[in-house]
Amino acid sequence: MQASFISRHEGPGEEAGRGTALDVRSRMFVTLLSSAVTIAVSSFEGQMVLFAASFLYALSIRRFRALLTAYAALAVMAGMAALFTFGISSLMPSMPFSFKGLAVPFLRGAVMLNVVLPLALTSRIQALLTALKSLRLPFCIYIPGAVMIRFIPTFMNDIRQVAETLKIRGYRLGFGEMFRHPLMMLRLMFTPLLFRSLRTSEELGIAAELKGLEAGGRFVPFRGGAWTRRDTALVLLSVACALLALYCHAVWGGESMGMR
Amino acid sequence: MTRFLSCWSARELVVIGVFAAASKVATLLVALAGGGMNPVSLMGKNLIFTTLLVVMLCKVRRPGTLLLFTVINIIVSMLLLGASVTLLPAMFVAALAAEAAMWPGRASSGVGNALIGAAVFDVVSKVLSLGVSWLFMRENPAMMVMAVPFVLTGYIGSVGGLFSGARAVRELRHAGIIHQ
Repeated sequence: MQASFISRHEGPGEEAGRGTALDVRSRMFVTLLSSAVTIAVSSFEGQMVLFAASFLYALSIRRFRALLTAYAALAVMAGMAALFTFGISSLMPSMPFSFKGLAVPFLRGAVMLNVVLPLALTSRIQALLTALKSLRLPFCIYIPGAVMIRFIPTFMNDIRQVAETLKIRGYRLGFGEMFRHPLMMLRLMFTPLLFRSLRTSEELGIAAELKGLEAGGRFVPFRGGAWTRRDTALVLLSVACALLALYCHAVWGGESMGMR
Repeated sequence: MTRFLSCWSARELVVIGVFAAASKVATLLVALAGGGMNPVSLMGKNLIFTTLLVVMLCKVRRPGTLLLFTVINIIVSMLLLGASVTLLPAMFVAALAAEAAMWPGRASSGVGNALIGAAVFDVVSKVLSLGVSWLFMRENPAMMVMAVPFVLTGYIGSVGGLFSGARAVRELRHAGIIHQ
């Protein structure tokens, strides 16, 4: 049985990004490794190693405008957090304000941004589904996971349609309206979406049962994975960077309380 | 274990997947539409999440549904959205606590059991997520002081979601979309 969600997109490994041909699994590995290591490392030097490596990785996809927008949003959030922290520190002298102490949490956020952006901007739905299948997850995890990934674009399209309908009926959807009439906006947007979700789940569920999808069934991916030498090199490089960051953490120590 | 993993039908698994996607996208959009971390969008996204959770638990009445929903959410968030691995045990414990709270009333057909599960899940996950926040911001404890009001504001939205969830289930039962 072909558990495929056939689409017009390219196969796995063929990326939408320009100049990249990495498998989704290698990108997933980098994301997973970064999320673990960035928590463990609390030294500024170690975080800088992670940040430099991940920034080069983010630059490799050549989506400079998206990267710039994401960094602008991160800078705004970081500025607000720094202002609040400064205010709290002036009210509570037991919590001193230091830029170095503030830098490490922000670097963690920047590292995650750098590794998530390439995955989000260059991976196609079909490639993600194939990668999920290759992880050999149990049926009861694979089916909802695949449905979740496949349903996200459909759901976003539903939201766009509901928003257009509301605009046609004279409702103004925006930041100001959200503050003035939050409950009404939630009700107007959320109720149709809830009904759409339930209807879609009914239709997809019936379709899945009619296709004979069940535990123990054999699924054949639409197309096989395409792991290349570049993927192996990326994985090895990411492991080397993680080890270097952990070494920096061991040598210089962290700024965290009781973890020095 | 194999029996537990294969007890769901394809239709139930699809419902869980659709609701996992809906909760992820809806909460993200509310957060973006509200312009980030403001109290209204924080409460709104928690309200939507809890409402969807209550409706899903009433639609798929099987022990372990919340646990499966959480596991799928975590796997997708971890692999595709870069969510931290440290969230995994926290959410897993919250889902287990909610499943344990729902176990005595698993045979009841009312909305009460789903509400208990969602309420326990919200409380435990919020408390444990504060612990995870400490891991992220341990270098600067002043930032933790800032995180606590945000989590509390979000929890007010979750409590509102319990009421809106009960109401949505009542309406959906009336419409024949959710069966007794």
